[in-house]
Amino acid sequence: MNGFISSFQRTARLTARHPLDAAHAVAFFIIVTSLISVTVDNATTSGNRDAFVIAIMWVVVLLATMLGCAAAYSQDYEDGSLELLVAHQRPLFPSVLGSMMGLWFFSTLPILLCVPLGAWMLTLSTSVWWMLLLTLLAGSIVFTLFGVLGAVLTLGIGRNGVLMALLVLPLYVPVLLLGVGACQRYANGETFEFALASLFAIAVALVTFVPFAIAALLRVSQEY
Amino acid sequence: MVNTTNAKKLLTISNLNVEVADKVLFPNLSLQVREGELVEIHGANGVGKSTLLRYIIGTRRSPNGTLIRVSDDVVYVGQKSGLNPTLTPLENLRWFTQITGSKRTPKELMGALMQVGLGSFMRTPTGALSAGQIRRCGLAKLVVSDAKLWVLDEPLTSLDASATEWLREAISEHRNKNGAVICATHASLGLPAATTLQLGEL
Repeated sequence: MNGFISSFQRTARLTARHPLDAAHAVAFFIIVTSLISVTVDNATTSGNRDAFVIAIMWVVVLLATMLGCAAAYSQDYEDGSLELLVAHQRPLFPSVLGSMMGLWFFSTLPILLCVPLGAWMLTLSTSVWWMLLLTLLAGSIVFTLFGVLGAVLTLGIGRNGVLMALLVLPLYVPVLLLGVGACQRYANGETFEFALASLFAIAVALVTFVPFAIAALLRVSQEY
Repeated sequence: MVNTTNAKKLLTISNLNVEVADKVLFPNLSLQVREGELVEIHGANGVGKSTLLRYIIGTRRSPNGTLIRVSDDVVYVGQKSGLNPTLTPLENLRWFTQITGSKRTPKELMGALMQVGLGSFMRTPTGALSAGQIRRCGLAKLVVSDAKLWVLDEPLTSLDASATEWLREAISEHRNKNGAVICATHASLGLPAATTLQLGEL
């Protein structure tokens, strides 16, 4: 519990000192959605506007979240804090979970808060907004976990953005399809409950297991 | 000083192969560290001093050989500072006590920073400090730790005369309180009754 709280606090403090780092991902989200809103008019997507907007929003949130996670643990790796963490924290799981929660809360949640703005700019039917936010809530947790997993896999390589994207993108795809599918089904008035429940089940399972994988990778990163 | 024959063993290494990238740097290393001891590890650059320390603190695991640490009680001051440059020395020190589980009040943390001469820099971002001050801040971890075994990697780097003297005194005091120190260094600390482990000439 101690490890969880101290990592969460530390992430909060670091974000407060450098708020622009978290603002990066939010700015990316707003820029991309506003560019799409001025370039794709209603006529181009006539008939299935909502389905199109849902897919776009999911993809942009995915990319923005990846951007926010790319630097996870890299500073700790550079300055030796990670070495201390690995040497002293047994088990590492609570501390990793604390960092994940902090990262989701301070860099992913601001992106989600901008989703209504994007939905409004892209003229998504207001009846679908809450469903979009609900599915993205689960989706963004998964994206954050996989984003950090990718960042940790490439620790110490430097300039790891492209490699990280290659490594973790395949992991994102099933969740992306499931989430977009659930939301589109809801928009079309079809049954969406199963897809929604599966999405949340996957999110809960990953919150339980991925931090163990991240903790193991952090230990391995200190073996060389 | 503690009588070393009766003192408790804090660390036992037997037949450890120290390896880097599948290359054995030195085979079958054996070493015992008891309460009150100071072990200085000497050796040329690249001989494996820091690697050996990483085995001791447990961030590296050896496929062969045994390394028994009596307790998890170990504090490590490595070549990397272990301090986040954005956070202040005080915040870094607090985080350190949180992860090691040693309970310290804010006053005690401030006292530790004052001891190492950072009294007026407690709230300056660590990244803005000089190399010597960052080093001092790293050594403040020793003051706030409950650990019996200190593992130091080149602790004298960037330290001025007064900080060096402070460290020598801190080590002596720690040994008097039944603590032990393992220190990889090029320049001997010049303290009495130190055991020297010379690497690279086995």
